[in-house]
Amino acid sequence: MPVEHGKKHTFVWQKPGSGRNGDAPSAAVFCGEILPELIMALGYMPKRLFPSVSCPDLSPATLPPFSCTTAKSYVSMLLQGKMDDVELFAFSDTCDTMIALHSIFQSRGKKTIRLASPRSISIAASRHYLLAEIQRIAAIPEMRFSEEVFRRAASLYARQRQLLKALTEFRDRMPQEVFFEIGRYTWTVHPEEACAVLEDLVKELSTSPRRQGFRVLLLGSCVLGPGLFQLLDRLKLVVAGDNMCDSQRIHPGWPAAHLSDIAALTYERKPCPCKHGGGAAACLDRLLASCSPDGVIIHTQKFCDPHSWDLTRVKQQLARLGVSYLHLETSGEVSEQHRLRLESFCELLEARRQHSGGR
Amino acid sequence: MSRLTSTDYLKKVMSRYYTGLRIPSPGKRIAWVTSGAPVEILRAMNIQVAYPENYAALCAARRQSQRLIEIAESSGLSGDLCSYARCHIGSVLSPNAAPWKGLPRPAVLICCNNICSTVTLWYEYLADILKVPLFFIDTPRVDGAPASHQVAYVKRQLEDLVCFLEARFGRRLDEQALKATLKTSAQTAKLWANIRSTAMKRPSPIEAPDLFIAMAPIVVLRGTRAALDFYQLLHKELLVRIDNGVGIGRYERVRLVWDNIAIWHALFRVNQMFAAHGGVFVADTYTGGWTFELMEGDPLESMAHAYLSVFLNKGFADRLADLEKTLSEYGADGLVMHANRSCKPYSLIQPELAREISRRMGLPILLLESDMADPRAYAEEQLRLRIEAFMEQLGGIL
Ligand code: SF4
Ligand code: SF4
Ligand code: SF4
Repeated sequence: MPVEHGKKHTFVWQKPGSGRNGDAPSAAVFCGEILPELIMALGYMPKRLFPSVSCPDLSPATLPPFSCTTAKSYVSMLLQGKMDDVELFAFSDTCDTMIALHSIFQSRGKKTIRLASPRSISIAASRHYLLAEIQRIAAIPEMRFSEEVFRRAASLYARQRQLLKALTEFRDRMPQEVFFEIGRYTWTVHPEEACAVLEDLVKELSTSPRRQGFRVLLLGSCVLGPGLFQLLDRLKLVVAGDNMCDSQRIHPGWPAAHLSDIAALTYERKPCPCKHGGGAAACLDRLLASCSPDGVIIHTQKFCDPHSWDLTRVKQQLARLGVSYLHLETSGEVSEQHRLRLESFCELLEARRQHSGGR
Repeated sequence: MSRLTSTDYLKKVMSRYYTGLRIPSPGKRIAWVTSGAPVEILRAMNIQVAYPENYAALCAARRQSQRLIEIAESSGLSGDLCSYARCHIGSVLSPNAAPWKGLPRPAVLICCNNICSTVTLWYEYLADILKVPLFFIDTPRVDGAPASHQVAYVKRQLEDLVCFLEARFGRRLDEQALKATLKTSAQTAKLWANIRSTAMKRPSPIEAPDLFIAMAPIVVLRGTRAALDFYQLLHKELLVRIDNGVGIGRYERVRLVWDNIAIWHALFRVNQMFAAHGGVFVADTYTGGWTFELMEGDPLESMAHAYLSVFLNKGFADRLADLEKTLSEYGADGLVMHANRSCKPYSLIQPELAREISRRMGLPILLLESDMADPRAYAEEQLRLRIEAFMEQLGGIL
């Protein structure tokens, strides 16, 4: 059973020395914009850092209360010593909060790199700039950039992305909680290990039946734990696709051969609200066309500026298209109130279905 | 407290600016721009500029922001977003509820993200509802001096901006006019820096609330004769005060530095709470944001350099060094940080800056949570209690 298979790999912060890349020191990666192949080529084992509910909030003396929960969670992990085994923290300039987090980690004496990435992706000049910025990072003297490692890593991660894509096609055949766990797991282990797990899963799922229920598209900022997905499973809402920070907003699965390909890959990611000119509206149209959802769930975190701004645009677009949507604002995890709202949303979808004579 | 007479002139300058914006004239084109936009190019092309941020600050200072903020929120904008944006968007959605019926409609929007990421989304939103073209200038964050690839990237965009404006308005950019505007801008920025520095003297001839009021021309009229004239007048007046050993007209027991944007809707009330205990704000970090230098040489390259180097576009080490320098140069006895809910780039690193400043300098620091333009986030009694406790603590030390 895929459920069981997925359950074997619940997300844990991997200690350096575990896994197959045991010798390389760990590097934490904060946003999917930074390609792990670049980090691996610098001599590190990249692990995507996800915010988590498992850590008590230790942030009040370090962050103002009006910070998003993702930031509070990262700072809490840092203060609790949960990241003492991480040698390098890789940031990219995305939202103002991420930029502040970089400052905090730097000020706490952590070794960091910061990709001062372009925030306008509609102009040609930004591609040249991004490449120059990546080259700057590769040339940092204490980094041990290797072209050969880069190419090997690029082909491994390309495989991982292809498998993730294949898994996403079967997403409606598995519990969402498992998909969530798998997604996180794969970005925190060595790609060979991730690929082995993904291959098994894809094979098993190819013969599994689709789950019944309303199909929804998920959009927005990341969640801190599996609560939302458990709730969706309980309410028999089947996620048909997403564009969320901690999930499917990843790069396409083709292997980079040169650093210049990284810049190109970055531009093929699903657009996110931190970037100007990414064609977000067209991307949403494509997602809607490919998933044909019954409704859309937009998740925003309290105090997350980029997604809160984007919300207005997304809501208008969905309203124009006549697509039912539900906006959930959380502090990372869902509550009883969210459950009630999701239940009403299901009732609304049901009423719509009946009105249209069932579909 | 003695009044600065040059503020009368300031009122005239500002009212002329706002009236001038509204007077229709043939061929007149208006651009809405962010406060960190390279406005000299527009000025040199005779394009009028209006500043939504400054407009929102004015609405807040006149205590007219709340209604506009509520209008924006009722249209679906989150109440956690920047209150300048909410206030200004409120004025766009309901001009009749806004002072002067809002800003006159723009022909173009020019957004430069060297101050924050919020402006990106704010201007995208405006472009969408107003159906007006948006030109976006992306200024990557810098650590120390901007790197050459960053300067090249921004310079390239400035070249594109020139083409965009020329095509849009059918006017050519005259390089001599740009050079002249840049020269005026540089002189004004230098003068503004000198004005701020007068407060290093004891007693200080000026305090932060005056600076907050006096900063308007460096923001909205940078590169014009009007701004330069006003600052020359103000500077002269301050030098006279220094020569006569006259301060701001009340006892300066404790010298303080303010970090972050002012609480516009309660600017003098908050100041008074400190003044009641002999506190004088001799400097602030916000008005220092317009003291940048323009280099000689290629105008667009010089602008790229300058606009990349604005303080909110700098890394932690630079922000910390600037703050430490300000505190020591102005002989500060304490630091007050306004934890401004609206402005994440300014506020999120304040606790960390405070920790470092306290470790390095041992200065007492007060963090006050409020909002620059949203009065609903202002709890006066709470602030008063915290300010009193802080000033007592300072009294014990001094
Ligand atoms: S919004 Fe985009 S850039 Fe920002 S954290 Fe999410 S994926 Fe990264
Ligand atoms: S994108 Fe939103 S949730 Fe993520 S770090 Fe930025 S503010 Fe926080
Ligand atoms: S977020 Fe801060 S820097 Fe940006 S517009 Fe608002 S007040 Fe200004």
